[in-house]
Amino acid sequence: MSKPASASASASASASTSTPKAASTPPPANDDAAIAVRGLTRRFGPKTAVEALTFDVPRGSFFALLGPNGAGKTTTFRMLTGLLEPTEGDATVLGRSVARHDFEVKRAIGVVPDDLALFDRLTLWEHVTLVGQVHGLDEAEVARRGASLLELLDLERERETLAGEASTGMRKKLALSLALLHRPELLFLDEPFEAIDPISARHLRSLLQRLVQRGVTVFLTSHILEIVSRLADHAAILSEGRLARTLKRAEWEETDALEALFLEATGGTTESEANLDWLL
Amino acid sequence: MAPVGIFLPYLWRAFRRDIRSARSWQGANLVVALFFGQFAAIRIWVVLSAGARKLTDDLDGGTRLATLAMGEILLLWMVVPFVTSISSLRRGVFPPAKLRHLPIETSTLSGIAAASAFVHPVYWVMFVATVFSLLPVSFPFGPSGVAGTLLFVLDAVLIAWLIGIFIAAGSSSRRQLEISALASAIAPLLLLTFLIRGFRQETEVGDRLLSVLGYTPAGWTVAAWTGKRALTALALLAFLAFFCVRIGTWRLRTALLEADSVGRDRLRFRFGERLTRWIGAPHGALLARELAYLTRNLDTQITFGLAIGATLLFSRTDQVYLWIPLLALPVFAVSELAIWTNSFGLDQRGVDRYRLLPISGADVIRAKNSAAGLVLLVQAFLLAAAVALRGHPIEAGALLAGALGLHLWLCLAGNELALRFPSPREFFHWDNLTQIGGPIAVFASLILCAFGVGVVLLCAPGGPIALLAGQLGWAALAALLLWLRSGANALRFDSSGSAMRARLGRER
Repeated sequence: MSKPASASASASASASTSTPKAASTPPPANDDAAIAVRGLTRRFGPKTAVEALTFDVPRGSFFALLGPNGAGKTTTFRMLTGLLEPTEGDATVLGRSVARHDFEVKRAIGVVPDDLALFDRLTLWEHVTLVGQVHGLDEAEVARRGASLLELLDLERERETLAGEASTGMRKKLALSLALLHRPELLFLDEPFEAIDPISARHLRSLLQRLVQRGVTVFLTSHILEIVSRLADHAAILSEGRLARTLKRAEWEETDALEALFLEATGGTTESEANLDWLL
Repeated sequence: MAPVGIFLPYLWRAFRRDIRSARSWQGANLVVALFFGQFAAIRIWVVLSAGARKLTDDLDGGTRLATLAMGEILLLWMVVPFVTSISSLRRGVFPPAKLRHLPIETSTLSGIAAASAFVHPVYWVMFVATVFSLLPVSFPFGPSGVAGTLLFVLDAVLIAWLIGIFIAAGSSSRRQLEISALASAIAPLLLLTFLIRGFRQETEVGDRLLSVLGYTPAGWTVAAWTGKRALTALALLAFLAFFCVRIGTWRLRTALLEADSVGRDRLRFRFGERLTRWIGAPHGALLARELAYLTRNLDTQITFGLAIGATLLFSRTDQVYLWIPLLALPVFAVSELAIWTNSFGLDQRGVDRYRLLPISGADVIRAKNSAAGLVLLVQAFLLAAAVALRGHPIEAGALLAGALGLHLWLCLAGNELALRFPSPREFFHWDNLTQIGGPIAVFASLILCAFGVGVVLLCAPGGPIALLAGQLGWAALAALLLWLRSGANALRFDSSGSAMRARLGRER
């Protein structure tokens, strides 16, 4: 994928390619960034799920948030999309504070949450018209955009299928259609490539690439490093709730080794010291 | 801002499809339908009788029956809005929580939750039933009587329903939601008492409560046996409160299933953890695990609170009969808890884990039953101590025996149900029910608790010794049956464990 011009901005205001420590005073938000995260922390009782995250996502970039299970990816995702209130810190999305202006932020972004947030007893097309109305689009415009999106994602013939009876891949594609319906400037995707077939994955990759070329910022979380290495131009790696590393495309392109960088950042290269003589 | 109105057609379609789907009429939904059917049948009989009496110039008798019917309707309006409004935020056919990533204001989300509650078919039935019930009440008073009574019902409905909606909408943390929901479960009950007081000021307290609560077969039977109508009313009130509290906690647990993933951990209760370590592995490992689960469960914490409250209350009064219904509440609640979280076993995963381990079924069942029994006895001991300190040691003993007996009966029923309906049932909900075990347990608990109250009320007039003897007999019978069934139940658990291990082996 060719790197878009707009993505050549600074990858991060504070994070370097080395392991950053939690800064006591985070730098001011970068207005040029699509997302500016400053000291973002979320605690659940005694457990700290995400601690003092500080990073920027340049406008028009394809940004991947990586991390092993339980690293805090979904918690971060939910805080950035206004679904979860941070315990400390703030995030600015498209120049607006998520905490103070979550309504405006939600108008400008498209979100595919991890649970897809679909209603089992509504058809695919009813989802399209409902979300179109929520975004204030007129009926004809919803019909035009909805039909082209369903056609693009090969859902046109299934438009009268109930979401509860649709396959996982179909549900995922529908959730993506709903996120795109109002032409968002920034798209949030939580694990978009999980549980979808290779053909749909290829369509999805192609669509996301075209969106980024058009200037849309894409923020996704994923476990699938191979896809991320092909699509993303910036990435951040979380480990145990902290920002372990931020990366630019050039860093993994030169060595073709995103996986190695990921394992290094998360400590995955360390062999377990458990004594397994009894087993092996 | 998107208005609530744009969601209404979608709500309607979703609910219509849900009702028409075959799955909605299986399992527990069917049980709920039967329950409401029985309720409706009684109502029709009462309303027709009230109308007939009024037509034959027995205005007093007709008004009394008609008021009873109204009391039932009020009760239903108190409980159902709470159940549907709280749950409809995150669960059900059209949960507004799924719209949170869209640009919709919180007030609109609350409005959608409210609308989805009123689109629920239960409300249609209730509206029809209310209008039907109003006919004989307002018969001598004309249109103003109808309007006044309707307004009276609507007041109660709206207040109860708004409490549920706004508390749920405004709560963010898991704990906050659970506590708020409990408050909103109890609030309608208090409101009901207040409204009934205003509705029939000329009557005695007992009659007033009986007018609402006593119109059930159990209520009439016990009242007729004992002649203590006020006492019966109080017992039934306690019984109802317990039922509301339990519905509240079940509903919230259901609603919170989709809560923040990290926050999904069960509530921690340090005292429980310490107690576990104190009892300690390896000898009491199984029992300790069960006990730890119970003590960090919000239900147990609440019933401890209720037990302490009841203890304080009783320590300030010398009325022997007062403690029977008052103290029934925590005893019922914790005993019912025994069925749900213990005999039915943690949650399904917890039971499966046991099945996968080489532990005998007898040990598992014994540990589960004993853990709940220990918790119950600690609670009952608080109450019994208060009773004893007021100079009623025999009644205190009767209380402990009664609590133990009720626990044994509930364990007996719980063990049987848990082993025959091994699907998860703690998280059932009333919109798409497929598990039958949950509702059966609810009704089994209700019946057994009603029997428990019946035994107390039957023996109480015979004096303290009769009360103690009755409670001991009640407990001994349960213990005997539990012992007789324990072998078969253990074998059943073991065979299900073997089957599971074999199935997993094949899948591997």
